This record gives sequence, structure tokens and C-alpha cells, in this order.
Amino acid sequence: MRKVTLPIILIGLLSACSHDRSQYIKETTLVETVNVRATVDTIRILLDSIGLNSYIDFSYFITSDKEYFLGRNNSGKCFDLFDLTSRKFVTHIFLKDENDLIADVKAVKAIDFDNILVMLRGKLLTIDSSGVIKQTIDLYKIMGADFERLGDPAVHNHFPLNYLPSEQGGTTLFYSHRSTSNYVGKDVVLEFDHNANKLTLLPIKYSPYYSDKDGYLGYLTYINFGDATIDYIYYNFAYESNLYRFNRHNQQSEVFGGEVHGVRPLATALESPNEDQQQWTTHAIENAHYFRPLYDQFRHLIYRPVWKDIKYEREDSYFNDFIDKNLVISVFDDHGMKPIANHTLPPMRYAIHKWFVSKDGLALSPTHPENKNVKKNTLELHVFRFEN
Amino acid sequence: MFFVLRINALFHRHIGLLLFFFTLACSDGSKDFVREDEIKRYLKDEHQFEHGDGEYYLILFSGHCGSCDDRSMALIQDLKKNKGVTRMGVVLHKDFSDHANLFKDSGVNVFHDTENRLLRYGLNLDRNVILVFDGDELVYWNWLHLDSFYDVRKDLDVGSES
Repeated sequence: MRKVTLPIILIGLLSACSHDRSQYIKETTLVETVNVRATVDTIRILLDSIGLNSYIDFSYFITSDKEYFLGRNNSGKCFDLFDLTSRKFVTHIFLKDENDLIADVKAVKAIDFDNILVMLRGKLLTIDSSGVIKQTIDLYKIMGADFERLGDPAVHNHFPLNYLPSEQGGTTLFYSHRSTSNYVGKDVVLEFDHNANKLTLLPIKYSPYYSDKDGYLGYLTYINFGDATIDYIYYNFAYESNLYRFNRHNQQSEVFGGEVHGVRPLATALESPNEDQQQWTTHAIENAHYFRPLYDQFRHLIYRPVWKDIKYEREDSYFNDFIDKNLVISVFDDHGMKPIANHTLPPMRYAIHKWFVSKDGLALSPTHPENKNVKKNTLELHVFRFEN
Repeated sequence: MFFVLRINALFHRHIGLLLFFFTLACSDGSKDFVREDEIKRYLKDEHQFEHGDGEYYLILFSGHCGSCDDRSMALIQDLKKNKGVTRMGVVLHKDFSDHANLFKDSGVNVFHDTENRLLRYGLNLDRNVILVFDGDELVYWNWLHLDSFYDVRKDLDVGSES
């Protein structure tokens, strides 16, 4: 009986996979008529004795027509400021009287020299480039008894600290972190109004696939915040190829296809509620991992990196790991959200998360852990310019 | 054709039930350390080490759980002091050169993964882990994370943390 039942169930499971794909993945076709060329410019800046060759928390900003890069230097207990236009190191910024706070910094967002946002747990500081703390906003205090409903305002690599200026005073978006691990049906993005000092949940939820699988997607459960403009908030999810655009005016989200040929568009769900770390790791390696969409305001493009799926167990009895996953950058136009190019990066060269959009294109850090050409005394960035 | 349609209909209606049977059919219900063979192979091939007969305690420092490292170190000390364990080894993530020095002259075998080879054996783990062998047999294992130290100490009868 079992001999007969098992193949039937397997057929059923295979059928479910294709059913999942058509049900949850928005179909798309690469617009092949657009001929997109990628050119690469290399920026190299010599470091002093405490500078780092890559930064986990960083921010890019433009002021007085010059481009700057600010990174948190945990070992140096400071922020490091670089002038990307002149390609030189500028200064270390030490926090006045509060230097130990650096270790607690979750993220940084520089608006200009006088306004650098620094996120601590539950607190948003504004410092200037001399390290003086100009303002401390206690988000927990603002939330008060509403904390349970709103969730803990959080930022991380998938949801970096951000700031959208406006005439009224600007907004910052946070991920609403909750004590439960299941976010089915919950709003997951918080908007902080700097002028009104108020936090509001936006009607942005996980996609239907997450809900239908009860969130059992292992490590791939992130919502990735892309960027915000006056009109839109771009976002996606680590477990699927779709792109989302939230319209700030009508408060509705639209979904767009972002499938890449040869890359799994939808992560498999874990079989049952489980905390088995070994299963989670295998699952995260064997499924594609979609990263946050980066909005290029200069060229009106969107870049969406994806880590391709890869078989965990190799035929030679050794194993692949996260470091073996190849990166593909998908390029979309911002108007129709149509994919116009997929660019496969050389293996084992670029670090994940350490990317940002600059005036000249998409900047990537060639500091993959297996890249033997990384120099400890140099901040190196490769700027990819995608053009018709 | 009818058969396929019937199966599809059955599947979509009763997906939960089918998954339940599928899980039963494929799972043996045990919670094995699935990389037991690989950790042995890693020690043999990369460090030319086999622990041989008798009890052997092995603690793997994954490099991904900073807050657990101090408590893992304390556990090692207590295994020696309170339980008299003498045959013990530590596998250290490549970034743990400071820890390698700490075990100098301690009698603990140090397997420092300087070439980052652990991951090629499927051993890039998110947490530290303790394994206890009796000869070739793995007789006990557990993750060393913040919630498990109490259980591990109780299971191995090493006394509570000081």
C-alpha cells in the first residue's frame, strides 16, 4: 500500500509546486528590445590605520554637488567619512561624550553634514559631522501604550535606515518587529512623521504566499524595503521574485513580475513548524534569496539583486555554502516596472548588502569573503552604470 | 486522464492531510545530528585526527553566536573541573585565533579552521554545538545557544553555571 501511495503523493507535491508558481508569481517577460550595456568604474580610496575596507552600516549622500560615503566603524568607535567625488578619506567622526554608543548603533543615514540620523534600539539620534548629538527621539516614549499594536521600530540590512524629506519635515520608515514570529495578516511597515512626532502603521502586509504557508519560510522571511519617493515605496520579499510598489496617495500596493530565467522564483515552504537550524540553512542555500530593490533616481531604474539557488550537497561529497551563491542584478524601468536586463556578476567577488545607488550608477563592494584581491588598506567600490 | 484529475482534485482539497502522510512516510521521528559523518570526516581529512576508543567531547565554535562563546568556554572549564573530562577537543571558526591561544597547554585538542573548510563539510552552523562520542558512536549532542545551556549542563551532569 505504501509503495503505491508514496509516488501518488510525490506527483501531488510536484503538482503543488507548479500550482504555487502560477498562483503566487506574477509572470513577466524580459524586454529584450532594450539593449542595456553595463560599464564599470572603480573607486579606490586609501585608508588610514583605523579605516575599514568595507562597512556593514553605511550611508551615501550628496551635498554641494559632491558625493559622500559614511560608514560605521565599530572597532575604531567612530563613523568614517569619505569624499567619493574626490576619492579621498575625509575624517573620523567621534560621538562627543557618548563614544561607547557606537557599538549600539543599528544603522546610519546621512542627510547632509549637519543632519546624520543614527538608529539605536528604540531611539533615533540626529548628530552633526563634528559628532555632536543635536537631537534624541525616544520612539518607545512616543509609542507609549501603543507599542503592542505598532511593534518595535526596527532597521536592518534588509530594511536600512531611510529618510524622505518633505515640506512638512520628512518621514522615516521602519520595519515593525513583533515578539511573535508569525506576521500573517499584520501590517509590517511603520512610518514616522518627524514633524508630528508620530508613528503610524502603513497597510503593507506580507504577500499571500507567506500567509498561505503560515510564514514557514525559514531564514527567507524578510520584507525588503527598497526606497521611498514622494509617490511610492518600493519593496519585495526575500522568498519570491515579485516586486511591489506601494502608492503613498491611495495607500494601495501593486505587484510586478521579477522572475529571472534559471532562478527559482518562489522559495519552497518548510514542511512543518520547526526551528531546525540545519534544515533552515539547507533551505536558505537551496532557494533563491531576493534582495531589496534599489531605486536609481538619476536614471529612473530599479536594481534588484538576487542570490541564485544552488544545490547544497555536491556530487563530490562536499557541500556548497552561501558564499557559493552567484549574484544576478535585475534591472527594471521605474515607470512600467518592466525588467530590461539581467546581469550576472562574476562569482565570489561582491559582498551582499553592501550596495547603494550613486550618481554614477550602482555601487558594489568587491569584498566577498573568498575574494583574494581584497586589500585591507583600501576602500574599493565598483560602480555599475546600466544604460541604453 | 481521470486518474490525474482525481489526484489533483484530491491534492488541492486535502493538501494538509497528504503532507501529513508524506511527512510520516519520510521521517523516522528522530532528531539526529545530521552532520555526524561529516564532522568525523572533517577531523580526519583536514586535521588527521581520529578520537579513537572511549568518551570524547567535542565543542564546535561556529563563529556566529558571540553571546554563546563565553558560556561555551565556561562549560568546557566545568567539564574538566567538575566532571574530570580529559579527552576533549574544540573546533574553532577561522576568526577565533584568540580562542586558540586560550587553549594553549590546556590538554584540549584545538582544531582551528584557518582555511575555512568547515563549510565544505556542511558545518557552517549558526550556533555552537557540543557532541559526545563513545568510541565511534555519537551518544549525545545539543546546540549551545542561550536557551539550551541549562539543559546541556543538566544532561551532562556538570553543575550549574557560576
